[in-house]
Amino acid sequence: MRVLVVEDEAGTRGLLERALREELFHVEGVADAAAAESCAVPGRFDAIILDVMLPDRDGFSVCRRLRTRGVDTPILLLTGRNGLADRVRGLDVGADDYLAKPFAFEELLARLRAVTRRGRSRHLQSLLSYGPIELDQQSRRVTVDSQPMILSNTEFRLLHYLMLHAETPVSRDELALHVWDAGAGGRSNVIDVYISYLRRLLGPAGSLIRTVRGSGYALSAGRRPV
Amino acid sequence: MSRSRDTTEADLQGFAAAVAHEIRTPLSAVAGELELALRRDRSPEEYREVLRRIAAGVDELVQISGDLALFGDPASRSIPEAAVAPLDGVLVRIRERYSKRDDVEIAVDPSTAVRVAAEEDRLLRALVLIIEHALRHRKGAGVVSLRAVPLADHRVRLLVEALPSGFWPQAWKALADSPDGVAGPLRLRTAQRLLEGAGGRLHVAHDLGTVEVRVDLDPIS
Repeated sequence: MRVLVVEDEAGTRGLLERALREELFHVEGVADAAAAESCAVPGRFDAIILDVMLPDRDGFSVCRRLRTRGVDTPILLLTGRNGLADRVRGLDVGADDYLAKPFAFEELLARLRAVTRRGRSRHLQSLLSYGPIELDQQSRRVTVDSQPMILSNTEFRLLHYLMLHAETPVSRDELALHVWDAGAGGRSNVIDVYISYLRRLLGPAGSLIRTVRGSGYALSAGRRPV
Repeated sequence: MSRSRDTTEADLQGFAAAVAHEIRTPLSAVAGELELALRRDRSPEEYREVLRRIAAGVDELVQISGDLALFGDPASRSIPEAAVAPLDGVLVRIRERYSKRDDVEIAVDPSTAVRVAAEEDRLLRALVLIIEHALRHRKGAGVVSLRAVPLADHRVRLLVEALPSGFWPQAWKALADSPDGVAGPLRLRTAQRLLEGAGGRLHVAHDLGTVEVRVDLDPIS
């Protein structure tokens, strides 16, 4: 699941990013309303966690503007203000849920699951499968032809990202960002090495990971990735 | 009478809500770090990093409690008899405080060679609170500058600027919009109260997305 975290306080943003990545979410974090509005395009994220107190514009306005632009991504407002008027206002401007700080991370996860369930995103399904490969996002188990595989955390994240985007070419930059939490600089060799580990581990199913010349990789059964 | 009591009650509620909000941010960071750390086993290095982040959150909470204590101290807003502070001496102390940072510039020049009716430590603390707020709420990673501008009526104006991009407006807006100049974040309200005890006043103007922050002081002739 791809989540946009909009939070100006660097400590809180970093915490949310780390926590969500540990739960296998693919996270992008931004610190202000302008950045949030420019990257929250329809279909890019499965959920948005939006702080109400942003430095350039409040989260209620951001929420209203996104809805006006046709962005229907589920939005979870996160705030230090928990008054009735704030909660009502948040829901009235188009947010799907409202969570006050300080919050338990378990509750945040549960609310994220609840708001995205309404969108029936495929990322929500606990079990992802492609050909003989099955990956359980909750238990973090991988099987190939029902045989359990032992993968390192990085191998698991890499396979997970490829399965989330099956049949779609994924660039090395994307993989560097979402699997290694880093920019692309100097990473492409590491990515290639991990792809080769993964192909080897998956046995014959490893051939489903195809190289897209000049771009990256794709999980695809066809001769050419779509 | 009743209206006055209502106003006081509204002020108190607004103040309590603002302080609760300020406490919740570091508190939720501390609680979140603990919850996350306990979710699964981690390496000693990772645990050390978690502890470092928790310590930073606790420091912030200690800072807020210190600001609250200062805010609540009735002595904060009164000028002690015969208290005189050399403005340039105060500015030199602030400059020394930030000497290891290259994003704070404190100008000490002939216009600051004046004495003001203030308790020196309170004036220093007020200016530091404003600088801390400025550092946190500037756009980008520019420099926070504090410099004096002599006014025609012999008063001294200290301008607080974030160069080159300016400040984010939201964190200053409440103070700018407050008719009596006492609303806004705890840090600025405490600074305002300390400045009252230093014969000065913090002004924030907010116009078309730009924020101007200044402190006016009355020198002793």
